[in-house]
Amino acid sequence: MSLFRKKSTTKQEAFSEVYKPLHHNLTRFVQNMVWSNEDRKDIINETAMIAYEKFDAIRDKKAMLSFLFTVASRLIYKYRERRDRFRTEEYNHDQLIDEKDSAHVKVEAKELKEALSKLGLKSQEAIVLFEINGMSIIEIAELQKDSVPAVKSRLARARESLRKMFDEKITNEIGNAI
Amino acid sequence: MLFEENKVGALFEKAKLEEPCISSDEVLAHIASEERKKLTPLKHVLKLKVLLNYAAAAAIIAPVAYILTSDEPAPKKIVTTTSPSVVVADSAPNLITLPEKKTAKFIAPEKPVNLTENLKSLEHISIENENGTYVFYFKNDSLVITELNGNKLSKKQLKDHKPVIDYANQLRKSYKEFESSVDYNSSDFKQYMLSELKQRGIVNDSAFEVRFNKSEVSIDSLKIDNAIINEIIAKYKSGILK
Repeated sequence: MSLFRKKSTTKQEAFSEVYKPLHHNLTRFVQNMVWSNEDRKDIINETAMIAYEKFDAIRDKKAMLSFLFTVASRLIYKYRERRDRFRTEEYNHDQLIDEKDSAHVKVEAKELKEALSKLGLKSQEAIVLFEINGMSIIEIAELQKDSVPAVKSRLARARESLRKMFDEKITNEIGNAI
Repeated sequence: MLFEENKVGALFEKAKLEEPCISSDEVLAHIASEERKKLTPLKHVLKLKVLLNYAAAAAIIAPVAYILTSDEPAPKKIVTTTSPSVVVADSAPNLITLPEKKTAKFIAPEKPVNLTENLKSLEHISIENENGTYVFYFKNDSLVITELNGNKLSKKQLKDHKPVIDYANQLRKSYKEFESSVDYNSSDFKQYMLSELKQRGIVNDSAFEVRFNKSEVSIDSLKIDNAIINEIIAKYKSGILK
């Protein structure tokens, strides 16, 4: 086996060690930002590939999670731009949830995703990172290249919008029942 | 307020329970597959001329380059050059036996090549593929200039040629690693040198002492054509690769 291939294998092993513990966190983020399962997989794969290519340049491996979020975020923005431009894709919320999840989780996750999809992209990103990925407001501000107060008010507005959406939903359901 | 805010929080908690749509093993397998694809262009690269500015290197770089893609047929022609102009003959090919019983040819330069002088100067590797001919100039183990079809590539342009640049760097590194693994002060090398010189009728007494110092080989006070020394070194190195 050549020197080149030996080195390549070592890099993959080193990357795997750093990436594996962060994978779930990355998928949670992407899954709550992107609706098509295929697009989600593509974005996760592409994010990991970019991180792998830059792996040698990332000196502080502790910063890897933040790097993954930054890359995924950029890819999601591009994905949304493309989607909005061509509008060929219709959301199919029934496909949003993984088959492996329990029925209970499926129903509630579907409701949440529908509501999230109605938020602006930055608001959606901020609230997913904060609520689901457990990122701090400072970290989100760095990722979104915004000030801390801006992120705080974005989060507050997003929560308020979600609350209103669910209020309306329940009001409609009660109205239909009567 | 029918839907309290803490219920939104509860929904987020449940969203955390969602299974990943793709496993980390699948992602890592994707990376491994993409890496393999990147190696594919190397097969084309090896239909190329690997140009190096000193003879011994050509003997080594060919097998090293070839080993990288030993599933491909051996490159038909590898040309060596002394900077700046190509001076290589297209005759008298030497055959190097490679691992896995593959073969590659290299063509020894007609003109004497001074190893020490060339190591001091900029080393270069030339790679030809569907885009044209790249020339990579190295100084102190770093890639300093990249040319494509005679035009220097700007920093911005370099991004578009990353796979070939990575390949050139790997080639250079592989060569260096191999080069540093050869011990010219070993009794094995000295005996080999003497035996080769005797076979060529240049020396006839095994009492001659072979010295190796900073890329230069001397045989006592004998003045031996550098081309012959380089050819023997190349042969010795290719023997190691067998």
